[in-house]
Amino acid sequence: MMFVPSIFRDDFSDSLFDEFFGDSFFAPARTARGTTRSMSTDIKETEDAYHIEMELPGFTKEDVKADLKNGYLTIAANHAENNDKKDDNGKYLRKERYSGSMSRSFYVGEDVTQEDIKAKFADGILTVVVPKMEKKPEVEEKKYIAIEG
Amino acid sequence: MMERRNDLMRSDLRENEEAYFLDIDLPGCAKDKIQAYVENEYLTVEADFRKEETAKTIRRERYAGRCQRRFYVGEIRTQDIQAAYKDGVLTLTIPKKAYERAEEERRITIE
Repeated sequence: MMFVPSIFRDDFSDSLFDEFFGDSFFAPARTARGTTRSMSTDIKETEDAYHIEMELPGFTKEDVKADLKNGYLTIAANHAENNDKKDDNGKYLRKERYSGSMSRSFYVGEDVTQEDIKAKFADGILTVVVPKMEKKPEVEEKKYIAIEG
Repeated sequence: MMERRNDLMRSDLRENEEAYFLDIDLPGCAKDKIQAYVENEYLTVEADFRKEETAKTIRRERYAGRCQRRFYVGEIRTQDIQAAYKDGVLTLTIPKKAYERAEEERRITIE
């Protein structure tokens, strides 16, 4: 019998770990079906920035979108394939890799803007650099009181 | 110490008329840290994700060790298989001709 890979079951553990991801900052990635352990992310800290490294194997730069809204950085990936084009991927005998859309959000605060954030994508890893922003001190306006007399 | 995990090295197997294709997710792995070989009718793929710590890590989800997976492929040779690594996916191509050749070599010629 050809091609009998190890007995790996899918799905089963995705839902098993849902409860452990209650933390809203580190919420897991979402797909149309629920949460997934895909888009595994490491976060590293340097003196002036946070480096977010996310696994997105099999996607190209065009498939990945990152946006910033209300302090949340959201990374979305989906295969922007042209379905009209004849796609000779062949017939699938076994499919374990997820090929749908997925997204994941991280709270980065409202002090950073989308121009400050730099991202690059190589070998299936998206690296997003979010600079640490200093809170801008509010300029105090002195209000003078008129003195009569 | 080995453990089984079903979230690493996820693989798709597909075929067309000429060959079988095995796509294995190995995101962010250096090419020289990936090894594939055929031994005793099994194709073994090993990957080493270990890296030097360069910055302070405040959250780690990505796997950072070594992993390995075996696939039963029958009597073909390591050199029959082509491999390419792109966008974090290792694709192994096994031409069906490799099986035809193995089949022929098995036959005993009758004089």
